[in-house]
Amino acid sequence: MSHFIEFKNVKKIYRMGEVEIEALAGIDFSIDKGEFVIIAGASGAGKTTILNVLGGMDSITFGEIMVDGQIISKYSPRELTSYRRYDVGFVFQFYNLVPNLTAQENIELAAQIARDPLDVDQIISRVGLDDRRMNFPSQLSGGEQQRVAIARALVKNPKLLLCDEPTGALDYKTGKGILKMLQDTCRNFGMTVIIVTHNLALAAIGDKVIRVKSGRIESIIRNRTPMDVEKVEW
Amino acid sequence: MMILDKDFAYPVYTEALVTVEGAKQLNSYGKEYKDLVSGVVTSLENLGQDRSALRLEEIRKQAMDELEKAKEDFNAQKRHFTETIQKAEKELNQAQMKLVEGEAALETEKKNFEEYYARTSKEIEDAERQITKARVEYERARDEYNRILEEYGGELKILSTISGGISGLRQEVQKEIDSLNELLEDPELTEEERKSIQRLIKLYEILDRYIDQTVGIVVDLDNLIQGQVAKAGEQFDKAKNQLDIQSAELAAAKGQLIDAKREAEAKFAAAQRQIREGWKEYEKGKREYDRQRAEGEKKIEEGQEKIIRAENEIEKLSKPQWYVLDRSHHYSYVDYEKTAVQIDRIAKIFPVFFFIVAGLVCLTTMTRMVDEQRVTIGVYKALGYRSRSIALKYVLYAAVASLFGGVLGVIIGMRVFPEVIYKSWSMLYTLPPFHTVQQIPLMVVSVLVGMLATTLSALWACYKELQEAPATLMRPKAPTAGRKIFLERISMLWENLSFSQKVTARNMFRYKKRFFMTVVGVAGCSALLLAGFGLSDSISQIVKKQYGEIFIYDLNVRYTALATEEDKQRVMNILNENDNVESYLAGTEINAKLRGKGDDIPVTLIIPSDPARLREYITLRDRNSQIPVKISDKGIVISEKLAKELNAGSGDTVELDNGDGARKKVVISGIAENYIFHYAYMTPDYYNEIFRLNPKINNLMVKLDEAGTEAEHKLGSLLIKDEGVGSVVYYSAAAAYFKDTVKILNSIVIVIIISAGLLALVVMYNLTNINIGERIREIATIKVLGFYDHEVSAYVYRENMVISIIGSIAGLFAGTFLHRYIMVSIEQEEVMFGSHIDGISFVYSFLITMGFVVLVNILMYRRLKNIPMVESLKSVE
Ligand SMILES: Nc1ncnc2c1ncn2[C@@H]1O[C@H](COP(=O)(O)OP(=O)(O)OP(=O)(O)O)[C@@H](O)[C@H]1O
Ligand SMILES: [Mg+2]
Repeated sequence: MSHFIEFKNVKKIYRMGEVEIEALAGIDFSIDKGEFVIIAGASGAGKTTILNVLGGMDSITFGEIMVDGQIISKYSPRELTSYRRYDVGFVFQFYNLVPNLTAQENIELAAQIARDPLDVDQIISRVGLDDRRMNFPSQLSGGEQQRVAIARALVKNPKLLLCDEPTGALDYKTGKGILKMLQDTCRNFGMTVIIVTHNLALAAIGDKVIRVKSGRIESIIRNRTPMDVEKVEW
Repeated sequence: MMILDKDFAYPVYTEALVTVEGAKQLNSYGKEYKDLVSGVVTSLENLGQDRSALRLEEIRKQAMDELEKAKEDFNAQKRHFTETIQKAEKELNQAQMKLVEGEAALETEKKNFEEYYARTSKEIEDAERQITKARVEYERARDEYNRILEEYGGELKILSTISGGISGLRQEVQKEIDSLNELLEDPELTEEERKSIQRLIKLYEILDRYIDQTVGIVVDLDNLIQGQVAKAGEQFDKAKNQLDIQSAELAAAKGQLIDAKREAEAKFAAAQRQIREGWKEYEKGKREYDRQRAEGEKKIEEGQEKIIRAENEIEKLSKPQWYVLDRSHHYSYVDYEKTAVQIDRIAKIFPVFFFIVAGLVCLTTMTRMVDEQRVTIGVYKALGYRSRSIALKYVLYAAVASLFGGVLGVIIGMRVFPEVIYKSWSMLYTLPPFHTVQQIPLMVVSVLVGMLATTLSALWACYKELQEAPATLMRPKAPTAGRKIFLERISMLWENLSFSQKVTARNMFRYKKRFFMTVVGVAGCSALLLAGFGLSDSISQIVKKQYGEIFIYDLNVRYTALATEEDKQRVMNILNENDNVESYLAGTEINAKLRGKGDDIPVTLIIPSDPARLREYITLRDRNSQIPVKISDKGIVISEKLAKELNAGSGDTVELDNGDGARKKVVISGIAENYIFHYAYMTPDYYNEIFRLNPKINNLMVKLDEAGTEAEHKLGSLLIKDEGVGSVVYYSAAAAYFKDTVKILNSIVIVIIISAGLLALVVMYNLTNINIGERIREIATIKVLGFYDHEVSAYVYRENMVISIIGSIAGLFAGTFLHRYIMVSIEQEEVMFGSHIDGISFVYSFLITMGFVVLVNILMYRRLKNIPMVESLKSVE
């Protein structure tokens, strides 16, 4: 049987002159299509690294990553760009909106390069920003900015959505709203969503929880009855 | 100039070459040299005041004496001529009168003779008739006699009747004689007529006598009848004999008359012939008279002209000149200096521009450096270093770097630029070996200015950063917040833009400072390029216009001053016989002078012999409207630059010195386009009106069928061999000379292109670097979004290109002004540059500038490609 995403003995070693830092020390896991996955771990465990290599933003030193039957770890830079362009949606901790574009334009920026983009207006409604679409990022709150970022990731209609600490810079309530939105996206549209967090309390809402420690998998837990975001407290 | 030996027989020295002691080792364009020489010049000029007064007296007296003598001679000759001509005229008139009189006399004589002849003929006829009648009478008498004889006195009555008839006849004859005698009394009768008439009278007297005898006979017959009839027969025979004699005499008279007629006719014919010959003689005399008179009058006119010229000369003498000419009066010396001044002016204008752009280079470079050192500055600040000591670090760095750069620049610049310019100048001038002068002050100033610009830029950039808190400094610079731009207010326009166009438009106005610096940098580059190209365009344009459009003839042939009419005719014959000559126009070229309000300006005055044909050789037109300017008898047409130098326009009056010393006021009737040297044009009639002299033809403008160096030289060498030809100027050679100047300028243009390009390169490199540095997170983000490399560079460069295009175009505008300014600054007195730039130069300037921009973009492509997504996204920290 083949999984949607599969990590096989993935190692990532950063070389800084004489020093070698093993960010990932042989990681194996798999994710199925439509799963809502939480990757949790302490700071410096290698969560972001996992996301980066999975998202095609960085190469690995050893092992193999397969996504939808393709070995992306062997992709050329250009193939990786195409992969990011058509298959992956990113949501960053610090939103990374283009400051000089309005909310709508930031979304359009992604839509115009996608192969089969969703309707921009619909996406804006879905993230509840109808009345803020003409605002620049500097005129939006953090939560609103993150919603724009999610919309920008979703509008490309990607195969998987990668979120690195999406609530890290947000207050509790806003963070909850964002997580809800991501969970709904997964449930309603069958999107594979992977969320990186250092907050273990969030483990309850994932279909699958992968715990990372010092570049290694600590545990992989399948959650048969994931909780709704609304019901989780932390 | 060349002076023949024989012309050297001048009684006084007119020229002295003076070497000033101690001047040789000084720079002849330097102030020291000029001061030294001008001291000597002043004392020589003072000497000249005295000398020239003395010399003037001497010369003027001599000249006046000569003039007086010449005038006397002239007047004597004029008098002599007038007398001779008057005498000749009188003689001619007399001859004519005599001829006319002779003709009239001959006519009357002819008429009189004819009259006489007619009358005499008639009288002879009458006499004949009378004789015939007498014969009839006689025969009848004889018959009667015979009958009476037969009848023997039976018929006496008849006899007495006869006697009575004869008596009547006698009466008639007597009447005739009387009338002839009466005719004789007429005094007008000629000798012949008189003779004829007398002869006739004699004839009649004979007739009378005969009739008398007849009467006697009749009486005798009667007697005979009375008694001696026997003797009567004898008497009759005698009478008959007598009658026959009379007839013969009459016939003789008739013959005589015919002879007389023949004789008279012959005489008349002779007279006629004589008169005809007389007329012929007269005509010949008249022609000779006319010729001599015309010749004499021309000589008098020439003499008068000579006297006027001489008077003018003497008038000129009344303003004596003592020239002390230092080197500044030497053509090549001045020309070289002018060209040097020209380069000097260019060298003064361009640096201003270069400084602006170089200042920009320093500013952007320092801004970039400080920008890159932002975090470090933050750390220093956080560690408690004082702002001043942090700034000092960077300012010191800037100072040291610019010192090295400046010194390097001075070393390279001092070596390369003079070398390039020296090389191109050696094409035109024979120059002494290359000699470098260490321009210490200039070098120091250059380096200092460079250092100042750099350190001040660094200080300014540091100051701005140091204002911020250390915490902010240690974080990457917060991206400038987005803002609506004014374009969005024009929704019509904004909504029609594509997404990427909107993004580009936004970004362009996002970083105002950078936008401004890019525009200035790029504009500076394209302006410099355009000015450089324009410089060479304008000058080649002059050559093209002056020798292609304005002077449309190919050769200018000048006669020697001594050329005679025959010489000129011979030269024209050479041209007439040459197949390659299309046409030519004779004219007068005078090295004249014009004066408005200021100094005398040397000008070439052209007086075409046929003003209507001038436009086939020289185009006179208004530069702006291209409408032809006509030369008329109402004034002179002058070239445009000359009008500017004279500060005079159409309708103004200026003083014209015709080169012979006569100075007259003339009216300017038109101003014509012209670029090289000063020209004035006037008609021969107007010249005559002004100077009371006819201009002396002294040159030929020649048009060739097939122009070109070879054709020109072939004809030219043929012409120059003729001793009537003083000089031949080929316009293709003149054009070539100016093309050399263009070549020099082209080398300067290349220097400009390289410098402008380097400046643009550095400015663009710095600015693009700053741009990328500031937007690194944004670029990483769009990379993560899946933009391909070329899309990423398009995203960044699109605005860059648009700004550059705006800058280039702005630069083209600035360049036209810069060019105009340069052209005005380097313009020489006798050359008008105009400010023409070829269309293609705009294209070149634009393309070269954009080429530099694209080059920078290509250089920066690697940097864009290597921006790591991962790190850039990590956090703002
Ligand atoms: N570019 C890099 N160069 C060198 N070492 C790196 C680099 N990126 C990450 N590392 C190292 O790899 C290890 C894993 O880092 P990673 O960013 O994946 O941790 P994390 O689990 O995301 O931590 P946090 O919760 O703090 O974000 C760390 O020890 C880090 O120091
Ligand atoms: Mg992380």
